[in-house]
Amino acid sequence: MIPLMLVYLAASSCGTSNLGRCPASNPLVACTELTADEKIREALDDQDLASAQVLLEAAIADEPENYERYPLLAAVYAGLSGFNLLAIASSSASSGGGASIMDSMDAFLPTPEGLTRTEYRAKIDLLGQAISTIGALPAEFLATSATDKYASSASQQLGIYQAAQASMYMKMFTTNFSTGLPDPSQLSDLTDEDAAAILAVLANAAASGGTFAEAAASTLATINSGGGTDRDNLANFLST
Amino acid sequence: MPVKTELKYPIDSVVLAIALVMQFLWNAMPGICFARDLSPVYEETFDIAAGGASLTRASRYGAALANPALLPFSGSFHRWLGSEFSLHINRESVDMAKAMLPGSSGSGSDSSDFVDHVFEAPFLAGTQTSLAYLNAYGGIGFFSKFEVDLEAQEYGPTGLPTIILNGKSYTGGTVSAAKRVPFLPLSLGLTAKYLMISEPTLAIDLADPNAAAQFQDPSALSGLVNPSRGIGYDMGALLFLQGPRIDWRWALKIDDVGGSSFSGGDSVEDFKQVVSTGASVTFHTGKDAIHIAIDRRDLQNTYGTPAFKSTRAGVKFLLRGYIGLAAGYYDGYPSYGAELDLIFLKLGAASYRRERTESPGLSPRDIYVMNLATGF
Repeated sequence: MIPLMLVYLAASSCGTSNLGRCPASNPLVACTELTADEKIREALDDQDLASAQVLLEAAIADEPENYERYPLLAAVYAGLSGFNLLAIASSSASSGGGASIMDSMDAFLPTPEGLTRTEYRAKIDLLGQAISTIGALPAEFLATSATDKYASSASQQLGIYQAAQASMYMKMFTTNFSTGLPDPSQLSDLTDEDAAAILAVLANAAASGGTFAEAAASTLATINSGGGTDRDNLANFLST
Repeated sequence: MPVKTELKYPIDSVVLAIALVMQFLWNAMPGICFARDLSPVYEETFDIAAGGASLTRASRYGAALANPALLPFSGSFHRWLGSEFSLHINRESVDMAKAMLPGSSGSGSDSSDFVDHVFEAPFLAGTQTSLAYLNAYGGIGFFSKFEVDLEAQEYGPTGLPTIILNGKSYTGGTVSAAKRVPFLPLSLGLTAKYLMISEPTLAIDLADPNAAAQFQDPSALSGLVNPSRGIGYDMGALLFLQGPRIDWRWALKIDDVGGSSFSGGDSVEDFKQVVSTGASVTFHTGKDAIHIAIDRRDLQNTYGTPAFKSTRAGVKFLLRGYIGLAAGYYDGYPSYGAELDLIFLKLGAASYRRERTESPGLSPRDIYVMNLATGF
């Protein structure tokens, strides 16, 4: 009896999948359903960001006060926008020191090359969703001085995403979308509304106190030193 | 040979007391859901290869912790005197070591190469050593087990890239006593264990320069291992029906009778009492045997362990007394291994997949084990 059971177990899993996975592959070992957070973790580990987004949005809708999920959803939005989280981990220490926010962020951001303006705009909007997801956290979960690891990490993420969004926004008006190369002629598309939005995001990034706050503040100060309108100051800064 | 079941003399009072205590604890302890690995704190390589189903048959020093009631049925007075060393390493770490060797295409010398590899696959390495003497009536042993598991997640628990370190350091000594119940095919055993346990866990947020810099200093890592100390007791019973060609065994084991408490150090969670049972059948000739076993750990679901982790099953083939082959199911995955017994030297190897969490398929580790034992 027992040998037959073992053969049955072997045949049903072939060693690649756990016998405990649902749906049950055999009646001898009861399957264990993954919890919502375990399914989210599995999707994140598999880099299946689309599934992770669906699962996280549903989980947050079900339990809006489970705040540990918000930074995860924000990270998923950032990942979907093409923001390279892993690269930022390996070189975060090299930021700051008065470098331009665009220089600091270049390595982590998707290039506009080959994209339409609408597609690139959609990526910027995804970063906006990341920012608003973090922004939905109560104040105590965003305290930069908090000892809670989730709180300090969330405030750090907020600063990173704000800096990234400002940088992507500016790239929209400095880069040729066909070649991916710098192209000052794109500045003609820069409107007053765009300039105001970019400066607002930069100001938020500078105030965040995160890893890129210094670069954001330095960039903002350089732009504002022009003495003209926001649009002209920004256009001058981007054309240099 | 017919099995004797006739009771000619009263049962020894010590045996009776142990049996009554076991029965009481079986019935009295409520189930409390708290996850914990149900493997013994010391597990032999050959037993792992056989799916970890070791309640009815265990190798060498492993018997004292798998089920001390196994000791009287070893066939002779002397059971084991010797030492062992085993190395546990996951498959990806072997690949990583190959890639980082000088001259290989992926070789590099700095820690960033190592971190890059960890982001591709987890790293696990561990060792286990023991020194023990066991006979049919009990024995004494000392063991040490250390394991480190390093996993990197691009989307860590806080949403940012994170390296997660899980360590296990178990060191201890055991004293076992076992006795056959007169005129019954039954034995009872008790193992008292002194344990020093540390289970450090650490998550390093790589996007936070301060967090990463904090652990550049090796002393920061060594400070994580701060053992808690405690004493625990395991009790076991084995019903052994021996026939000329077929043996049947049924085992009952209570780990950490009444719970084992730990104090000092990192304040490791107390070990809850766990009741387990196992059954096996052995087909044998004079020199060869096939032992087929199934264990069901944590019958009262004290730790809320899912079925794939609490069910262990396996087969051991013992050929000519010096070759052993084993296969089984460990944590819901196939396991296999072999052992060569050269009288004073025993070489073993096993491969198995361990599920690091209670979630099937979420965080498995493919582990190779190599074992060297000297003794007799």
